[in-house]
Amino acid sequence: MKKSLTLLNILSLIFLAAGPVMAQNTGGIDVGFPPFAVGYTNQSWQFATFEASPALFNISLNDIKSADRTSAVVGNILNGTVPSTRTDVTGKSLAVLNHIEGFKIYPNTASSPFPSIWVKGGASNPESSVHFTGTDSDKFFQQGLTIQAPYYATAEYQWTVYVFADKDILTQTDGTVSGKVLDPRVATMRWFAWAAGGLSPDPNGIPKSAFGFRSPGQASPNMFNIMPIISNSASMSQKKAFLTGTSGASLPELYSAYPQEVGGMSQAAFPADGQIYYNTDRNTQALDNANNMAINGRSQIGLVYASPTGPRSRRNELLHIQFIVLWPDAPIGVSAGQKSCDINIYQRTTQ
Amino acid sequence: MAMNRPTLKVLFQIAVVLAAIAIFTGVSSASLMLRKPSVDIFAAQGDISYGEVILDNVSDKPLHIKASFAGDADCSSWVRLESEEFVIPAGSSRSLKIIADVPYDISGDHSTAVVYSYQAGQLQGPDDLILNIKMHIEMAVNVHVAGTFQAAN
Repeated sequence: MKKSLTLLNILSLIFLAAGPVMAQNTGGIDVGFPPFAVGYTNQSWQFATFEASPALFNISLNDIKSADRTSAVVGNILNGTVPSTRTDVTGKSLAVLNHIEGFKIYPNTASSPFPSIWVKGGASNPESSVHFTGTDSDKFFQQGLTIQAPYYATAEYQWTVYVFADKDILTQTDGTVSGKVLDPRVATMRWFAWAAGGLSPDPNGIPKSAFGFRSPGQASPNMFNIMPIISNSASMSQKKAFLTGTSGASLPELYSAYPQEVGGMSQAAFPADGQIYYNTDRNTQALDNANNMAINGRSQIGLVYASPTGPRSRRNELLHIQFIVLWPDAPIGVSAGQKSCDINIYQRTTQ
Repeated sequence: MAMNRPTLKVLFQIAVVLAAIAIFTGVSSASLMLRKPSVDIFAAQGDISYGEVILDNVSDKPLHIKASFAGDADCSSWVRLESEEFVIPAGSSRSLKIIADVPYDISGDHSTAVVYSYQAGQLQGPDDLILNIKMHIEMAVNVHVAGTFQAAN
């Protein structure tokens, strides 16, 4: 796209995990098959669930486990990408950052993602010093919310995770019953995923991001995914076919205002022209790309994670997903009034 | 709220402190747990057999579950759910039968899947922006039909 995107509103970080605690075989009960559990990474770099059901825009100390509170600090400091003040983390190893009261996002401004949960590590992180002050203020790492993968008693199950929505958030463009993938130049919701932390992090299970752009002078591109959309009225079979399919409805819908389709090339070859390109590396079947899962064409845009097959499928690890709502620099027809969107997390288990 | 670009003044107010604009319910922990990741049904031709799964609501809120098939058309015409929509009270469990009404002309192994869907929470940001979080958990169903079908001459 010709101009930089306008970041309007960064909404949420969602980390999905299925708790290993619940996967324990207890007596004569079959091994549990826990779905996603949203929680946080604590000061020991372990997954923990919140105490209650917190407002993710405003996480308080009481929302985290009592055992973690003495190590934690909460700062209501975020004000876009730059904090209004820095939070003192002296003696702390877990920091939660909320936005300042009344924070507003304007066109051409950006905000830090939230909820913003940071854990102290051993190395230095330049981003940490932007937000924190005090002893070891440079050693904190953004964790957001955390999700833990299932751990199966037997190794014959592979699990995959998909994300999709019923409509585009700002334009309220409905997904059809067969589903659609909007032109990435006009889609108003993007998502990111990574795997880190825990006992056995599996970043190889995260597929390469589908799209990206490199601005002039930028050494490496900004990579992102867009949200595939399918109508709420579609059956689960239709949703499954759309998400896991390899052709047809899962291909992008092009936006008429642009003369040609977003091109595809290897991520490393993206020119520094600010244009959005499809990342063909995503189609390369490789161990570090969705654990060697085949991705054909521009299919499976909503694939968040694919576990290994075979004995390593029983592992559990932490996944992280971040959603961003943005208003791209395109005539997309943002309408007035309330806007709603259903974000769907779909966990599949196959034998 | 006017959203056209010429009047871009206040778009989204993200007042994180205010409960009125920041509500997130029920996504803080796992809500639904299945006692096993797949169900196997063993049946004979012409039998009505079923498999069963225990669903645990491990949250502190009632869970409204919608169950539906999302598998191949292979056995969709003769496999059904005991219930397609139900509520599990907070901290409670319920069983769900998956029933195979096996035709006489069917044999061998067949597979499908059941997806359990529920709303995990709602994130309300500014006054004009609402996100609902929905979860879908798929479970494999395998039907093993004994016997050999021999077509009539």
